[in-house]
Amino acid sequence: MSTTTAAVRPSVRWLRRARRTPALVAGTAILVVVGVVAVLAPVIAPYDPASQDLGNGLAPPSAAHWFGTDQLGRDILSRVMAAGAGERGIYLAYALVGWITYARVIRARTRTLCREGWVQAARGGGLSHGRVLFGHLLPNVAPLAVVLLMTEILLIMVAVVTLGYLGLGVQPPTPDWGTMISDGQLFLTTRWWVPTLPGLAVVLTGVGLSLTGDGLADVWRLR
Amino acid sequence: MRIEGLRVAGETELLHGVSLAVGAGEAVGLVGESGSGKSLTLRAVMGLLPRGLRVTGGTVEVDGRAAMIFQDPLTFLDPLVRVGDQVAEVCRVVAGLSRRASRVRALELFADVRLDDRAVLARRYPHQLSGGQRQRVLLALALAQEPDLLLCDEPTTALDVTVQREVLDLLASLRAERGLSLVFVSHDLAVVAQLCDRVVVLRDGEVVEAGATRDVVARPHHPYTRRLLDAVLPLPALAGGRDG
Amino acid sequence: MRWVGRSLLSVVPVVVGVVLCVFFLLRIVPGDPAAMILGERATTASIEALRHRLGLDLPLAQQLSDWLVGVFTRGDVGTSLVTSQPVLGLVGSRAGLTALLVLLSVVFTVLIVVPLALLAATHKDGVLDHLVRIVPTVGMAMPAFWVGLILILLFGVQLRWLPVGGVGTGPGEPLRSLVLPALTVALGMAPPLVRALREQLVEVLDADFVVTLRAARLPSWRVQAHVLRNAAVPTVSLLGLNIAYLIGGTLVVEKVFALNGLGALLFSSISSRDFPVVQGIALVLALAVVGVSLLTDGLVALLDPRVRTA
Repeated sequence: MSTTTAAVRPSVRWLRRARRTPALVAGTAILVVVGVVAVLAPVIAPYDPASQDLGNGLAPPSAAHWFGTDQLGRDILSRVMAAGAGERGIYLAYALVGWITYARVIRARTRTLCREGWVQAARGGGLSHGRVLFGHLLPNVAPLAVVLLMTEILLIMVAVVTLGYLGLGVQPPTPDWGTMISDGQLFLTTRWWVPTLPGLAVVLTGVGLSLTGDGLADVWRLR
Repeated sequence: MRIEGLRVAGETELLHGVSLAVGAGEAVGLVGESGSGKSLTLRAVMGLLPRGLRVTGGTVEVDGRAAMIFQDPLTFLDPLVRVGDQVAEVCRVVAGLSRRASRVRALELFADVRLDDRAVLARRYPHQLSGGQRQRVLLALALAQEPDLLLCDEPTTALDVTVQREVLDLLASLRAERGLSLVFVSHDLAVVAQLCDRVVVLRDGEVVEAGATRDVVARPHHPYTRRLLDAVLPLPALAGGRDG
Repeated sequence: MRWVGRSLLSVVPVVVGVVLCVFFLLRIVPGDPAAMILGERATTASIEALRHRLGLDLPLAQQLSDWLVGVFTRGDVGTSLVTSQPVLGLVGSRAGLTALLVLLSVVFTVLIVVPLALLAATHKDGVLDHLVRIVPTVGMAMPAFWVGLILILLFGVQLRWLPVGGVGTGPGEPLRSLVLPALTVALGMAPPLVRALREQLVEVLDADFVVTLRAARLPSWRVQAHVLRNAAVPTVSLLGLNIAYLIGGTLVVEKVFALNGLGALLFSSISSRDFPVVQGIALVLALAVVGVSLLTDGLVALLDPRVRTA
């Protein structure tokens, strides 16, 4: 009796299907770019994110400063790249709280699966707990878990940025997308690039996460 | 009603040229296992094919009005509306009656389908009725359309055996009283044999055998028909008789 | 009637839980209100004196019970540590604006989500469906406040149609000033709701009873009426479930648009560690969320007889 229908697929077939899913391709591409930039920020940033140039404050985007400068003359592009790395502490705090909802959904799905006949059949057939857990349940729950994880990360990121915007998050001078936007809001109507471009960084990362999550869901036929 | 060479397809062809004829006042049974295309045939006649399926060939002619009843009335009735009102709504549309008159008419129909405590029942919601009661409501809904032909898509499959018997008796007497033609779909040859003059056997979207019930049961030609017959034990009396 | 009693009972633990959580969280987080009030130059002695005066040096349990007693016997939700004003008054003066914003946001949310979800569901797997489904994917990546900023840029500056900050005093106010903020909240809530509602609607549209109705040759509009009434049930439920997020969204948006509602008060009080004010606002918000949940539950019961006779 076959109980592996929903379990591990040949990876080659999977990869091929993955490559043909536009959402997944676009999403991972974006994430890779963002990730690389964030990690390499200290190296590839054109300027030191903290160095001020008070005479050149609020300059519009130009060849020298692709994203312009903020009110203290700091290069916005470098600050955006640095902020991409983020402040570990706050993400951890959020993850600790958000873990509960995540776990609840996974638990519900596992329970539903357990009630299905094939689990009992496998156990009845003499398979050990471990075998059932790893060989059968895990492959069935894993896709859902991964896709949900994407959504969780996305929600956490948005929440952290929002907290930063509200002034309740990361403290200066650590650059954070949220604080950059709130600091720059004063200049929204006059020098729109100061708050808007960091915002774009947030949205871009978010879209990358979202597309990847949706793409994975498509590939694994969860939608 | 006459069907000639009906073809229905979605991604693949599901009905491969089905032909069927029902005369006035006749009762024809359509049997076959799940997936043979019995329900699809009825749906095609009514123009109610599910999303993604289309008629790709053949003709359907219906002389008069056709109504249909379905298998599991719980999901086939609007859960938010009282059953009496649902039937009344059909009466309003079909006969152009006023609201009050249609409610009265609905109660009359409830009497025709032998529902007790009509007034009380009419104010109930579908989930508050028993399976048999719901099936009668569906029947009343169909009769409200004043049809000449009644298409029955496995109406007894979800019912207890005793209730099944009552519904079959009801159908038989309605047919006698009103001269209704019936097409009765089921996977249960025994049930069909009780009610229908003729039987058509469907398998994988094709007609494999057809004829008077008496003949088909006594001398089945196709091995599939024989298998269906073997699955019934013991064989009940044929249409026209009463005991099994 | 019994059902109402039962619902009220289930509400109490939620409110109590929220209040307790807020109470303890405030005191766990570093930051001393007395120190904040007195500023950086304050001496330890003066800080201690202020703490004593404000009752902050009492044991936690006593602070909690004092506050609870005050709430239940006198309806006294405390006094602001910073301004010495009664919290109830403070909250009351701001709550009206926030309530109006929430109401307008709900209206906009429904106006955006329902037609989009309907469109996607009725054209399932078609071009329109896929177009609509892009909305949640992209929309979820956009923080509400960023959307607000974009709207400000677009409507306030470029097109000069609507006011972009604060509440004006001209004709049509305060509604006119709340249009953009409410729109921002609605756009923020729309993505997950569109996705969820579309799924529910697909289920309703494919329901068996629709087949029966069409078989009976009811005119199209009558069938739609049945479908819509059935579809209203999950819609209302969904709104009730998400009201907490919606209210949260309005609090954030208030900051974007410089609105003087509960949100502004809440965030400034958190920053200055004004415990009673934060507690008071938390209580009010918890009651509001719970109230709306009860309301939507009631609506669903009204619409759906299956819920009633369960």
